[in-house]
Amino acid sequence: MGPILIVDDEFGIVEAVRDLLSDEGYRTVIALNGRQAMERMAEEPPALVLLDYMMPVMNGPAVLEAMRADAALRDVPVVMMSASASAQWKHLTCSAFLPKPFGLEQLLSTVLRFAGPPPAR
Amino acid sequence: MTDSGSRGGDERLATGVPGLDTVLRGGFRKGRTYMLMGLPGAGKTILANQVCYHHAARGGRILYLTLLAESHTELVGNLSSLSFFDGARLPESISYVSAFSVLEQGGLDALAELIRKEIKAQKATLLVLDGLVAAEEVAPSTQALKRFIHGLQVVTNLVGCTTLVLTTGGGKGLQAEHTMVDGLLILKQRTFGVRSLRELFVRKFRGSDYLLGRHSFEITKDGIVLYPRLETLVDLGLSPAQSASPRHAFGIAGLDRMLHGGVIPGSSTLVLGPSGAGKTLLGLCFLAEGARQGEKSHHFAFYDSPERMLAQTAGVGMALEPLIARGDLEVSFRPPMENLLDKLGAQLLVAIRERGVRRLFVDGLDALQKAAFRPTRVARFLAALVNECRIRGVTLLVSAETMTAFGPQLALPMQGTSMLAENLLYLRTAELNAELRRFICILKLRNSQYDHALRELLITEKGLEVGQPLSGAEQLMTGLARATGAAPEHRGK
Repeated sequence: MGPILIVDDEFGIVEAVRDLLSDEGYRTVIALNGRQAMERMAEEPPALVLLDYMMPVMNGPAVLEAMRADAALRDVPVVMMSASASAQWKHLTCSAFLPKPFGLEQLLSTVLRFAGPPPAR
Repeated sequence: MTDSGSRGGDERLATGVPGLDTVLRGGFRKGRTYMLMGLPGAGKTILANQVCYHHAARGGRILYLTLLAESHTELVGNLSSLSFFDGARLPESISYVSAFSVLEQGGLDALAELIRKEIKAQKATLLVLDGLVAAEEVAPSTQALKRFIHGLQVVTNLVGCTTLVLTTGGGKGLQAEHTMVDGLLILKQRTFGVRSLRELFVRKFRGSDYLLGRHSFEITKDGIVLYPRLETLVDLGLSPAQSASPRHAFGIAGLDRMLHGGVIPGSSTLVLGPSGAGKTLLGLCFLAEGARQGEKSHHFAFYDSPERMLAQTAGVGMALEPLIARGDLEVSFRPPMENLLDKLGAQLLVAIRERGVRRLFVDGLDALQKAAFRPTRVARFLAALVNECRIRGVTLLVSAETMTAFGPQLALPMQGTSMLAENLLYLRTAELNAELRRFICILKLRNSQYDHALRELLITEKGLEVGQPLSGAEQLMTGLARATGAAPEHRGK
C-alpha cells in the first residue's frame, strides 16, 4: 500500500494531519505545494492524496488535472480540502470534498473509505 | 464525488463561571484554543478548574496537563475546599497528567506528541495546559514556540477539543506568541490605596463578539464570580416600557400634590439633602406606597441594616413589616466598606430583571462612589442604571447627601448627576428664628408641571407630612433663613 500524500501550503495542518494519521498506523508523505506533490508522486504513487484547493506555485485543481493526464496516477483517489465551498467544484474529478474545518472523525472516515484500513502493526 | 460536510457553526462550551459566559456570549467556542494570562495568584488555575468541573458535570472529558513541578496532590488538595470540586470526577472524567518530565527530556516535539496521544486516549473534549511558561523556557527559539502553539491549535481543533492554555507570560508582558490563539483572557490584580481589585478582560476572541472592558471578579468559596460591567449589559435596543399608572406617588399627600400626582413611572429621581434631612424616610415612603399598590419595591441600602431601618420607620408610624412579609417590599443591605461597583450592578440587575422590582430606592449615592475604584466611572454606571430602569419601567430613586448642611451653595455630590436624574428633589434644613426647620422643594421634574414652592417637611410620629409654603422668610435655600416681618407660617397642612 502506497503512502497517503498530504498536500497543503499551511504547515501546521500538514503536520497535524500527518501526525494524526501516523498515530493510526498510516504511512504518510507531505508536500507544501502542488509542484512538490507531483515530485513526491513521481517517487512513489500514493494510495490517497489529501489535496488543498488553494496553494501557491501549483494549486489543487492543477495537480488534479496533471494526475488525470498521467496514466500512473489517473486512478489514485483524491480528496480535495478547502475552507470555501463552491459550486464550481462540481466539475472537478476528485473523489470527495473535505470542507475545512474538518474533524478527526471526518478525516479518518474519509481516509478509511478511500485508502482502506492502516496496515497491521 | 462526495462532500464530507463542514464542521463549522458556533457551538459553545459553557464555562459555568458566573458572569463569564455573559462576557463571552455563551462560553468558549468548541474546539478553539484560548489563553488565560495572569501573574501568579491572579486566579488562572481556579478559573480553569472551575470550567473543568462544570464541563465534567455535563458529560465532558477533561485532560488537565501540567508543565510545572507542582504535584497534582497539592493542586487537588487546594481545590478541594472550593464548592465546585467533585472528587468523584477523578480520574474518569478529569485526568490530571504531569508533562513536566516529558517536556524537560524531549522538548516541545515530545510535548506535542504527548498531548495529541493523551487527548485521543482520554477522548478529551477539554484540554487545560497549565504552565506554558515552562514550555517557553525550553523552546530553542520564539519561532519554535510559535510553531508549537500553532500545531497545538490545529490538532485540538481537528479533534474538537477546546483548549485552555495558562501562562504567566513569563513577566515579559504580552508577546506575539500569546496572541496567536483564538482568544486571550487577561486576569489582573490591581491595588488602589489599601484595596485590591481583581479584573478580567478579554483581549481577543475570534469569531464572536464579547463584552469589552475590564470586568471585576472575586474568588469565593464557590470559585470565581465575575461581574460584567453594568454599562455593557444594558440592552439599548429596547424601547422604554409603558406603565399602566400615569404617576408613581409617594403616599405623602402634600408632596404628591407638589408633583401633580407623583413622578412619572420609569423615571429617575435624585433626592438631595444633608444628613438628617429625611432622605431615607422619604424614599421608604415611596417604596411603601408602591408596595401598598402591589408594585414590588426594593430598598437597596448601604447605611441602615433592615433591623435599624424598621425601628426608624416604626418610630414615625410606618409599619413596613406586613409589606415585607407579603413580598411587596424587599430590603437588602450591604455595609459601605468593601463593595465592588460591578457586584452592586449585578445585584441591581437581578432585582430588576429577575425579581420584577417596579420601584427601586438606592440609598445612597456616595456608597456607589466608595465602591468605585475609578471615581469617574460612577456617572457612567448611573447612566446605565437609569437607562436600564427606563426601558424596564422601573422608577428609580437615588438619595445623595449634600456636602454641607448650611451655606449659600448647593454642591452636587458628583458632576453630571443632575443630567442623569430626570427629577431632583431637594431636602434642606434651615435655621429660622433659632429653630431648625426641614423643607422640601422640587428643583426639576422633567416633562411635567410642578409646584415651585418651598414647603415645610415634617417628620412626626404619624409619618411624613409636607405642609404649606414657608412664607415670612427668605434665603431658605442658603440654610440660613431670614424672617421677613410676619412670623413664618408654621407646621402642618
